[in-house]
Amino acid sequence: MSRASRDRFAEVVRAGGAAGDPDDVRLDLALLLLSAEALPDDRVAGTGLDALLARGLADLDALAEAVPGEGRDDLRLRTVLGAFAGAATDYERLESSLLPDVLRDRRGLPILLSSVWTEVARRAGVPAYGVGLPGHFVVGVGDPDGVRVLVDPWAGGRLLPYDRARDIAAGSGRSLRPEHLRPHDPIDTIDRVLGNIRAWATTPERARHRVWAAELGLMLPRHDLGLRREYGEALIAVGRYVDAARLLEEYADLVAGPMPLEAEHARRIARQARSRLN
Amino acid sequence: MPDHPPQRPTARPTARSAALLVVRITPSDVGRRVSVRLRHDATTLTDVVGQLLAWDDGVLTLERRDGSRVEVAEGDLVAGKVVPEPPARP
Repeated sequence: MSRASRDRFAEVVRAGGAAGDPDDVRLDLALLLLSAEALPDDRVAGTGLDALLARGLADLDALAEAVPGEGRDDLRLRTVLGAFAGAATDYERLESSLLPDVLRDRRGLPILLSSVWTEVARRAGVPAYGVGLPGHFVVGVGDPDGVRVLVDPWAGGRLLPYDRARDIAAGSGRSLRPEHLRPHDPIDTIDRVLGNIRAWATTPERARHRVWAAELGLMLPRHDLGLRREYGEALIAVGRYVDAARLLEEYADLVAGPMPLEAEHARRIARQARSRLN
Repeated sequence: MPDHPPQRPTARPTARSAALLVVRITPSDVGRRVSVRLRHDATTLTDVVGQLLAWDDGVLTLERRDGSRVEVAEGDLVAGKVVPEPPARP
């Protein structure tokens, strides 16, 4: 993390303006800047950050250059991106959520692989967009309002008929609604990537990642109110008891009206944090 | 809610087989004009009419009257049939 990477992240995620135009948010830059947070500070100071961004953008450009100019749209992308795929063990690695590692290793979480597909497609002029299924993340190729096919980048770009998408959703205990198949807003994609990182970072040695993933989440133009409590708990995990207590008390005041039990819970955690200061 | 590895797909019940009975086109119909109906999402079926240009590895490529090409997943078909060419304009 550096001041520069935080400032740029804020610019990128707020580029959509008050109207929140998703087309103005550069998902590639946001994911590269996010990955900088996972590195030690000296690696991203000064020109380190510029080098990380340049390398990531160049990798995406190179992939797009290799996309054939003709042919079936899903195959045009699969020709170049079919070598990217995921495995169940990828859920245990932080690198699976970091774009530079995903580009280098050609593996990662479904949402990162899908983002590679949509960012390459965008550069190559192929109509493709992210699709956030309950419990999985895939890509739509074609017209989201008309005729399109779903492909699964985690499975190397294999076709995903509607019935299978519905089964995947059912497998995570939820039903597949039409809004799930709409193009995924990049802000929601970034939010979901950060949520995955926070879920991974629940052990003490990973706690610092929980903190920055919460801080970046709070910079997004929209986020769950409960993220503030998660941030407070992350601060406790890294021993920042004073900051945590103050934050949780502010959060409790905010939600006391509509959610009194939640507020009481947050105040209790704040008291516990303060009690650790003696 | 964090993402987790997706479950393997289970075998589909017979409701799908019933739908397959009215899909009366096969890859051997490539080159002919077809009308297909597909499952777009839980509440929407979409109709496409066009020339069947290709049917490869589970994907149909159709060219519509306006020249636009669309891809359709074979697994999304709920109905399909060959249709006659439109009458020549006088």
